[in-house]
Amino acid sequence: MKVFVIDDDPVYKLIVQRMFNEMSETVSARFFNDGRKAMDVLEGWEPVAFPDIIMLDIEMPEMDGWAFMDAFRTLPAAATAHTKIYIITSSIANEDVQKAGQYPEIIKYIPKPITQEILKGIIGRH
Amino acid sequence: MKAADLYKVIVENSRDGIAVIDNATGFFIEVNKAFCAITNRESRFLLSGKDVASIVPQSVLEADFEAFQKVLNREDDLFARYYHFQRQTGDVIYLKAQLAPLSKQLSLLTLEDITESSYSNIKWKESEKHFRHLFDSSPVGLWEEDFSAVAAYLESLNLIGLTRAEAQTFLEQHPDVIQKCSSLVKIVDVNQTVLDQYKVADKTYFLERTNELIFTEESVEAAKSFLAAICSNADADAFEVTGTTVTGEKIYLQLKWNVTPGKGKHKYKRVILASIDITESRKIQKALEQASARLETIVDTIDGIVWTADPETFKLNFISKSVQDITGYPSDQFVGKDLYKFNFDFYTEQKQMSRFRAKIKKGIPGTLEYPIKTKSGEEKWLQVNVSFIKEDEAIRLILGIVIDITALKKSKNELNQSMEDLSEQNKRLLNFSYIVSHNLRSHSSNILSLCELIKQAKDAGEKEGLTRLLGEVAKLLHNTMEGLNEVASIQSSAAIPKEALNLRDYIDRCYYVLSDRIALKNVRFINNVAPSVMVQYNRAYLESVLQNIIANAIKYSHPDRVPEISLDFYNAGNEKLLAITDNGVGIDLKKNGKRLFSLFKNFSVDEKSRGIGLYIVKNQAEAMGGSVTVESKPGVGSCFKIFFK
Repeated sequence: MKVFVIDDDPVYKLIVQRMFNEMSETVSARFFNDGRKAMDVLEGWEPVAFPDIIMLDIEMPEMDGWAFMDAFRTLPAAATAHTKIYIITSSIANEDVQKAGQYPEIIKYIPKPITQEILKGIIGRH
Repeated sequence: MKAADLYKVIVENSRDGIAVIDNATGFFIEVNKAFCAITNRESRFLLSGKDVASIVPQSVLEADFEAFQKVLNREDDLFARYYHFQRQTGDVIYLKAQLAPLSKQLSLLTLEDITESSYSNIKWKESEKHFRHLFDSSPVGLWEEDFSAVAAYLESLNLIGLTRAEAQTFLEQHPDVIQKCSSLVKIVDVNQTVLDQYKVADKTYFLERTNELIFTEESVEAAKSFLAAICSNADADAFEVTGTTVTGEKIYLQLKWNVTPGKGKHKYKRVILASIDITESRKIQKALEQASARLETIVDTIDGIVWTADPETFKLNFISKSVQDITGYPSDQFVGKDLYKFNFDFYTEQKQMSRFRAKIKKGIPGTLEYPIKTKSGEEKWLQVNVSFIKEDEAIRLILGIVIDITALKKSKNELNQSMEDLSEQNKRLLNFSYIVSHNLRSHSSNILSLCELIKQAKDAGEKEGLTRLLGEVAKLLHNTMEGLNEVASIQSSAAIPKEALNLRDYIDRCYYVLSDRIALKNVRFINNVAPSVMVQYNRAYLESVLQNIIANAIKYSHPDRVPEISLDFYNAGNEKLLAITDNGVGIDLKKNGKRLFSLFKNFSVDEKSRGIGLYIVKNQAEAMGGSVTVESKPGVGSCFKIFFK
């Protein structure tokens, strides 16, 4: 299972890494500080290398979650087709929840905190 | 010539018909030419044994014959009668017949043709009757007055022949003369209308007491005018007088008088005076005047301007006085001018006014708000409401009512401004609460997740590592709280004390506070601000704004060159600003410009100053009524400008 975690909060990323370690499944996770850095990686990849799951934050420097979504859509459909995106954010603003609904690639909008239960739900579905 | 012959000639040529009659027979013995002409008989016929009965028409009364016979019988001394007969020609002849005894045997009959004098007498009587009737039934009050005594009295005072003005002056100084003259006026007659005007029933009573009835104090003016006219030999005049009826009501009369032709003393013997009761029209006129005055007062005292314009010429024909209060220009500056086209600097937007004028010309009423320039050059906003006064569908008058809406406009603008301010503040607050909630949530979420992990930790080492992390997060949370607290303490209200501060002093102070960092990076610090520059600011805010920007300039200095920070103050027109220029790494404004002055939503310990510093600067500058802007080029440097109010 290939997972991208795009978030600028180092503590959060540390917590998520710990939780992945506790899981029975093998999760190979890559962590990015913002959308730009993740995009730089994806743009050069073959479709088969694309992650199964992207856990995306909204508020980030350089390229925020929404800008990442728009950039992600410009990638070849063959590559992005099987990638499921989850928004995991501290924002509980209605505006953000509604905006997430406009992207069919986004499976779910999950407000922090993240728990092992939630993480199992995300990984277990695949 | 013998005396007898002389008389014969006289008798023969007399204008009167003369006949000698024999008393015994009654026959004519002698007739003259005139007798023949009047009786239309020849002398031969008359002298052939004819008596009076044979020549008079049957219409003569038997009684007249008896009286005639009495004179012939010498029983009476005189027979005299008047007759009128119709001649064969149709004319009527008037005769005076007179018979008187001459001697025992003879009597003398004279026939005087009085046709002419008789006719004029009748005509005179007829016209007298006619005019009497006119006089009595005239709807105008008529007075026949004798002013001859007055004229004589005035002459005795040497007043006749003066000019009217001279006479008037004299009379004003001599009220006693007026009094005397009034008593000398003789009212000969008045007609029924005069009696009606004064509400008198009995003419005799009126004529006896005219003076006490109608000469009141108010009529002195009229009397003065009348007498002055007489002094200047006028034969006609007209004036208005106020009088009082016998029942005590006030009446207004218009008097016109004429003298009947005559000269000298007799000139004022017969003065005809006409009096017309104008009480009703006077009342109406007075009511109209009052209404008009009231209307004018109302129009002039209302706050707005009222104007009217002629729909034909499109020129203003009236504008209320209040126009001067509002525009500074007097009303006569507008009256007679083309509507909305004045030849002086008045309308700020003449095109708009011309369009409105065209609309009115088409007969469309309307309302317009427009700016004007008053005489003193001040801008004012007016609102006009134009309507039409119509009569039978035709426009008779264009009516405009103008009000000064300057204050309203100003408060509307102020309201809009404060609405904008409020909305801006509201947006900031919302944004702030959003950020607060986001920041706090990100930390609290981490704390919750860490707690979960600690609970499930397999060994003491792992537990300890996680607990240390929890401590870090708690510190972050605390820092965040501190930062937010700083932000929240900025108030944008007038309550923050402002004072005149020496800008250079504050820059120097800031230099001192940051001197460690400046020395560490070997920064060239160039303060070009003159020592005299003063700004109105809050002390703490000025320190904060300067320190934040200068600290950033030091922090983001370019590693490849000697850092340089220069400060310059500009005061051009309405703008007062301090420019802080550096040669640092610069900012990609395309990418980060929007966020630069907003609260960085994910600020961390390391980037604390960057996260909230500029947000605080912006809020403090705005709270002082100013603003802050930035110009920058990545790799070249930045320039922050602080604008002062």
